[in-house]
Amino acid sequence: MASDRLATSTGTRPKDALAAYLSDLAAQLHGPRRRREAIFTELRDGLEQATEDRIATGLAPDQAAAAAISQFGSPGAVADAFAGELTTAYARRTIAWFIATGPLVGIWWLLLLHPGPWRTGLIAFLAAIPVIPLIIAAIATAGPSLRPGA
Amino acid sequence: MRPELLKGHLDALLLAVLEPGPQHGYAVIESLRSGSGGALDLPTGTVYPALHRLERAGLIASDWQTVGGRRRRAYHLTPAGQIALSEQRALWDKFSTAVTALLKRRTWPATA
Repeated sequence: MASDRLATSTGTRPKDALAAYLSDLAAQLHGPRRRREAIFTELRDGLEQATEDRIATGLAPDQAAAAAISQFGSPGAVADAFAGELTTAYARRTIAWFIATGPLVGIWWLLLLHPGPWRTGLIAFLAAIPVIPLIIAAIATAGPSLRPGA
Repeated sequence: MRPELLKGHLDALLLAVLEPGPQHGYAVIESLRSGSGGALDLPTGTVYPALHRLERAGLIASDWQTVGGRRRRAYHLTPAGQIALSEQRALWDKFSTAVTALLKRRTWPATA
């Protein structure tokens, strides 16, 4: 790993500074986990490259890391810049989830509200599923994904 | 350079930087800085979201590569991005010509 290269060749301080910056940033990113992880990986690569470039121009490693971090902008500013994109990703995922699960939940509600003697075959099979616990389970599953921090 | 001057032009500039060939995010941002002679010195971390927005708009695309054991995201222009860049160039030529003509120091015709 590049971060390991930085650490072994130059002591641990630059690596620690980069890690501290990245964890500060990660704490301020909100949105789907996979998107946040991809952003984290991409920015870590950029930050390490920026540090290495500065070391190559003759800066001491800890100065190079500090310069790279200051060039990247404060974690708050970077997180703010990403907020719009992450909110969009989150909204798209939530809508997709509703579209995927809506019909099933709808069938359960219908079965709950219209218990009748017309249940045969597949309908009877679906009706045999305890509806209320399933609706509760569906709401419980949706809960975490409805929170932006999830 | 005042950031509000850059607003609205950043997308075209990013597309232009990617025109010669694929680059990873950090290299794109460095090209922006060096290509402008340091005038466009944005905080690096705030340019990545602009790249992501362009990708969502279908103007650029990205793929992950592993370079020296490091996972790296490289961006390239899509055909739609190439078209958008040509349009932005034509628009900018028109706009900059008009602004230059108006901002040029000159003696206005006397109104009397």
